[in-house]
Amino acid sequence: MGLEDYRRNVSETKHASILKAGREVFLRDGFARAAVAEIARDADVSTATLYKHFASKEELFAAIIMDAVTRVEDISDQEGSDETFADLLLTIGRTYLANQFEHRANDLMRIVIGESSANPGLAAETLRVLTGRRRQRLVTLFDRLVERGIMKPNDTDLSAQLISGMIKELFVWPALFDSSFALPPDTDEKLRAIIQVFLARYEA
Amino acid sequence: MGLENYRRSVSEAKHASILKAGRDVFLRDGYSRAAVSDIARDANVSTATLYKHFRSKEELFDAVLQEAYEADESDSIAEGADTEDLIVAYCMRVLQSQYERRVHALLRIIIAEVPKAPQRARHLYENFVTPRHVASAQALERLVALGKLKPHDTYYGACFLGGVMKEYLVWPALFDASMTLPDNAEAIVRQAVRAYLELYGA
Repeated sequence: MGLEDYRRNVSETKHASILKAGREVFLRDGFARAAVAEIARDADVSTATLYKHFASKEELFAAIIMDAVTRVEDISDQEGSDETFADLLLTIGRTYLANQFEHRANDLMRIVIGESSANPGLAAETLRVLTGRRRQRLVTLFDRLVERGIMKPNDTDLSAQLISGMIKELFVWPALFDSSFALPPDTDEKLRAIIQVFLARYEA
Repeated sequence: MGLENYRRSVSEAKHASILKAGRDVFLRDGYSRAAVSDIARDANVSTATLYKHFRSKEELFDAVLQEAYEADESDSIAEGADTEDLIVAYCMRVLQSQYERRVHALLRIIIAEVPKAPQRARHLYENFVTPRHVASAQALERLVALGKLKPHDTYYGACFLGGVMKEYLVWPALFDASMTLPDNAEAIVRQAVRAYLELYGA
């Protein structure tokens, strides 16, 4: 391993530990009260190094949100398998909920919403990361499913919003107001009920 | 008008101005930072009078939410010929009322309270937010009873309509305090209602 590689490696490690420390401090203190100096200390780097990785506190927070919602999310990988449409939707739903709950995306979202009047830029960026990118992936997937004759031809922007809206309505909306809200034991059944409604309308 | 009536009307006027001042201060400062003394001053009453009307800041905030969520007469689904138009009109009334009464800003205040006062936030959610979903399901149930919709689990029916409307018109408003009801709101709602009726229309 050359010096170049070694340096890159160190830099990546630092990047990851800043993300991790930032996440913990933000979840504990909220956005406004979180201190960059403290994050740097917890990550064992200087504030100068922190700012080399993330130009601002906002940028760091956006990176943390991105990290939380993209850990297990590559739904396009699943499309090629032999899963039925119903199973594919179930996998997508479970993956999405795992991100929201296990990776504490709900808690991060709550912080941003609570502070959106004070910090509109951060809120706009978060919304873009949370919904824009995800939705685009789902629309792309649905477009391919229409092409392959698995889904009826439809306005895929609407159908993507519909399925994610229904899932949010049942699981994420209540969690926004209740930090102790956990996924109920019958989550899979509820997901299946939503998927049945969706399939009745969209399955080819 | 007797003295009794006069007193009552003064008291009602004070009640209303405390509510209005409370709403403005909560919207400006959030819940924790809102000062009861500010609210009393803006309402032009003493803090003693304020506490005669509302025993605590909590109770005042409850009343502000109550007012914001209060259903007006037109809140039910009216009878009429075209089911699609009926449901679209119902959804639009709910949305317009939410935007006019700044319900999203009040929701943001509740959400901000969750980490500090979880029980309080849950109380607000259960008493003000959940009943809205129940009311929508009941409105759909009435359309089923009128034979305008196929019998179906209206809890999931309300989820279908509520979810898609929130996705386009409520979630973004939670993140963007300056968002107003977009011009194409009715077109979005109509599209969602059509998809819904393809499933459940009688």
